Amino acid sequence: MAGGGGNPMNLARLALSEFTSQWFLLPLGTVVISVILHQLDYQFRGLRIISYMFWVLAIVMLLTFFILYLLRLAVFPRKTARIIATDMTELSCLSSVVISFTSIVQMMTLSVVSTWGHSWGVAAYALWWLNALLALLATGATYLILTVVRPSGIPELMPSSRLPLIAVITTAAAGGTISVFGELSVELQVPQIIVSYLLLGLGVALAFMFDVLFWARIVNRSSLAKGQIYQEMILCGPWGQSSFALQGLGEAVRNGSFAQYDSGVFITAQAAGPISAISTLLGLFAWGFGTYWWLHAISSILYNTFDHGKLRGLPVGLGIWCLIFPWVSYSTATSSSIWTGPDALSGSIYQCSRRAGQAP
Amino acid sequence: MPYQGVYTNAAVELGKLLDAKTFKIWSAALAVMLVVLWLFNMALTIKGIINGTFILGGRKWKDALTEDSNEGVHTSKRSNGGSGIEAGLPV
Repeated sequence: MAGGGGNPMNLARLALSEFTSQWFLLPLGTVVISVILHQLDYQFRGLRIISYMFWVLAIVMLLTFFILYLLRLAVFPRKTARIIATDMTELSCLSSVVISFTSIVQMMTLSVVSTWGHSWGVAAYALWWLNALLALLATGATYLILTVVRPSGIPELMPSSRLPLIAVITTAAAGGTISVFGELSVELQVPQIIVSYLLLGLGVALAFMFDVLFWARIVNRSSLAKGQIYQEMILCGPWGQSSFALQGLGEAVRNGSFAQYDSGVFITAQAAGPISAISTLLGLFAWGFGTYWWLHAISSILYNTFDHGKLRGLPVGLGIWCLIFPWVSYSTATSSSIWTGPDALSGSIYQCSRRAGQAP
Repeated sequence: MPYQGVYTNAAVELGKLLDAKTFKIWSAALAVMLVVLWLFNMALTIKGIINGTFILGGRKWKDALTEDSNEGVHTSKRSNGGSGIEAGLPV
């Protein structure tokens, strides 16, 4: 591929100068696939191995891309800084590093703690606090630039601007997972659960606000260009991930952490049941809203694929990787809904139908 | 594996008690679609790396080499470092 009369070294420098943060969407899409395959209810022989392979691939990708991006920063500092400051997508996609890192730590808890010992749970717990700090920094810096330093205006607001808040919500989701599967003491679990709920509050409020603004954009005839249309799938990401986080945190509270800690009026055995139930209920709400955005994104992509009834296709670039992570967030929430919600819901519908004589 | 026990046991017990598999089937279907989509994306990405469009902001390696021969190293015409999320250039 690098043949011809040009200088391959110059070509390598050119490739490095063009190395965009959108490459971080690849490990993001890969690590979350490993999580969903690991957590899927229908397991067949070898699926766990496949999920670990995706996990390792994601770690390799993240490390490689991170080194390349640092190299780009070192070799082309002014150009890279200018792009980060002026291109909202470039800036937002840097949050994918935090989301990938958090998801890798989450998967570490699910995969190695039970076999390699609870010290791995403590390691995941320590890394989680680092994740929380990084997610807050990414959110603060990105939205400071978006609102104060260089406001883009509603017609230019991109779905990718949600990536920092997805980092925050993913950290909350990982907090629930680590608390449930990390084999930690309640003294470690409870602060993690409380902070996770705080992060979730921050992320969900921002997600709702961005949804309203994006809705204003698209109803105001400022729809996305065809090459950007894949980004619409990002819209379901915060809601799917919120649903997963709420269910995980509800599970963490129900597992006995609040009952054993027993402090004040909130962190008690009496409060644990209602908190868990409310979390599951809100998780269902969030999942329902995520379902709307999921259907909207698919409809929008299909609509833009056709032009006057003829298949035209869409431009292809790294933007295609915007499809994976939110979809996985959405389906992970679906998968984890099996814990408590939808089955219970289906069961209630079944029992009501039976009472009404409509079911056997 | 205790974590698996908690998760699977709860799901299995709920499945037995409520006899409702709707969401289990739905999540499995979503996961299958996702893996297919991931493979499709990866194939497009490898193709984009080979011909250069995913790396050089939509230009091909051979075009960049020709420009390189003529002008020396320079930055891309699209300076956003974009490989498609903004402009979505064809592979």
